[in-house]
Amino acid sequence: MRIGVVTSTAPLSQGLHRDLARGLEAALRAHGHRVERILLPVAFGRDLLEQAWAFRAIALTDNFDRIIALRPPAHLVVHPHKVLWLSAHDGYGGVPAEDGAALRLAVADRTALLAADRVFATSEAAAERWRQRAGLRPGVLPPPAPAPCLAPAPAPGGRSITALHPGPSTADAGLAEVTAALRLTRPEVRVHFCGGANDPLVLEEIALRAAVLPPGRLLFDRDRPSPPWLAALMAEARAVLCLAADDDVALACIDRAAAAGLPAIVNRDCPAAMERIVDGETGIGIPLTDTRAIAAALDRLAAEPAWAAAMGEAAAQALAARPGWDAVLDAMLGA
Amino acid sequence: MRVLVLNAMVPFVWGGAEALADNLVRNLRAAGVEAEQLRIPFQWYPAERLLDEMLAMRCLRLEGVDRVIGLKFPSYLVPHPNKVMWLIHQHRQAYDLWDSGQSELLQFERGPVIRHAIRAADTTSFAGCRALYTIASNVADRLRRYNGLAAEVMHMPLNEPERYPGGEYGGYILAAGRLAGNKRHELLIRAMVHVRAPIRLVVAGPADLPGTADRLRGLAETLGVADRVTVDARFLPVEELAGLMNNALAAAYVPSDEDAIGYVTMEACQAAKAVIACTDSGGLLELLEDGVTGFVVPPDPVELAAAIDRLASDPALARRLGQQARAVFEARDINWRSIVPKLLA
Repeated sequence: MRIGVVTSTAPLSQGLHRDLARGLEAALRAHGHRVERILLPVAFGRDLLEQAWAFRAIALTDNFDRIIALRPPAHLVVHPHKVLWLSAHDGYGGVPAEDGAALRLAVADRTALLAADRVFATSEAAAERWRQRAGLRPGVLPPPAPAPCLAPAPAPGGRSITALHPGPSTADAGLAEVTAALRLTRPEVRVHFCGGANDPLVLEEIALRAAVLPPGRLLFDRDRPSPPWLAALMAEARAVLCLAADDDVALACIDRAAAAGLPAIVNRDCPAAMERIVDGETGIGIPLTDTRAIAAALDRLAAEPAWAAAMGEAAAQALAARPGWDAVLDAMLGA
Repeated sequence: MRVLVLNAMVPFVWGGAEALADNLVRNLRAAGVEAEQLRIPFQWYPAERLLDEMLAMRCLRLEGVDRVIGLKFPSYLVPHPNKVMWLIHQHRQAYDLWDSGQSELLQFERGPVIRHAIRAADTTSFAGCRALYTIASNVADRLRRYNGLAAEVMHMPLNEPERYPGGEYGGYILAAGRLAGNKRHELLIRAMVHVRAPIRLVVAGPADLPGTADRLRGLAETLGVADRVTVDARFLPVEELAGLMNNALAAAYVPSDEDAIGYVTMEACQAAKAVIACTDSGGLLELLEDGVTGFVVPPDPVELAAAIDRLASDPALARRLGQQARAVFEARDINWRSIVPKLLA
């Protein structure tokens, strides 16, 4: 079968949508299908009707027997045999209501879901958001474990990084709050940010925040890490900061942490992220508005390495227990 | 710097343009910039769709990138304030093919409107670019003639030239490249009817459309040359394809009005193989010269057969022309280290 795996993306970004697209492509090819992975650019927050129309106008019907569409507005692409696998919908990052765009996009969303052969969500939280937005509740199909590309073994010198932020950072990634919390934590707490950022100003802000802290508390790399570099950092870390409110970014981060045997520290305001962990057992949920609570969580990770290790192990086991790609393909393509 | 390479995608087709885009991204990253390619599906039929395709590109939005490098129609129409064009080709149905009466647009009542829209969109988009480059002189000529814009020619480099050190001068002519109508492998199979020397033709490359390989094999069967023609339509690993090139007696590459020198030409020259091409093969004639780098003959089976016979009956000539082809190619010194800074300037 000729299958197109379509997702929207910001150029040079990362996130669950890219992980799923890659994973689907590999799994489908392994099952003998011909596959094209199609990443269509999107910029949320402006000209959304125009962009939505563009997604609908791109011709896919002749060249593909089936389309699997992921991140909105890829769900709007037109094809007679379309399967949707959606993360949470945040209303396209804010739509100006005055020109009727919000209503028209909501109608387009519902139409797209009705036109699809099958509709899945990546989490219960995402399914509920889609129910609220489009009036249809997708089935839940959790993403399989990502390829274990990261080294799970601890570094020989022990895990000296209390929490690693693998980036990339956006304004809502919680780094400002974590930096504020570092003023309250025990002196041995170290946070390492290594992910780069789409916006250079975010990097400058982090650099300024790092500069006012005692040396060594907030380690800061401007460049995005290569896979071996990230693996080395993971091997030194006790936990991974996955604080994005956007579940597409947060879930990818949580699953990568679990694949490396590390617990994730997640944003309590991201329901999909909270759904993915068992608080205190496979990860930690923190309220970003409570600096003292963030500091307390970091302090406990620093003081109780065995607790951190046990959570990481439990996270890895939970991830391994999740259905694999064969189950995903059965759900999407099965009779 | 964050760089996005924008390319058009014809699903399940992989050829020189796709290889160029991949190699470009690889070399941008090697130069220390963050880079990736987005390939946007393109369907050119029916002709009325072209307007939607162009408008869709204009309606897409980009964020978080400092530089866009556009390669092919219509993906290069996506707006960005810092766009550089390295043009592989425009939609030629609206340009030279229209003028020569070969354009499919001529069959449509709205053809003139569509042609005008394509030209206007191209001119507007190109005029707003920071810089204009093309991969071959014929592409730059069309840009000057139809859009009134000057562009610098920047040939695409051969990636991994070390894979093509040359080797034996074996008993076959290699016709590599995508199996597509404009590559005219059929012409070479027809030529084999007239070839007298005991030489084989090996056609190797993935087919754009299902059934192409069987059609070519059927043609060889019908013409009674199946025992001397091999059609391998697999997507061959690069090392296997390089091995075929390194050990061929010579290469034959006879596309119709190609827009570039072409990877096949460059690989053959690097491997010190004489190249048989046609007088209407387009961009590769910027490099190839009749009697110097091989033979450039009219697109006629008898003429092609004569060229093949000359090389097959005189291996020393094949070797000498091949070595000259390598010298001519290497003298061009086409390389990424001079291209990347221009695209990022």
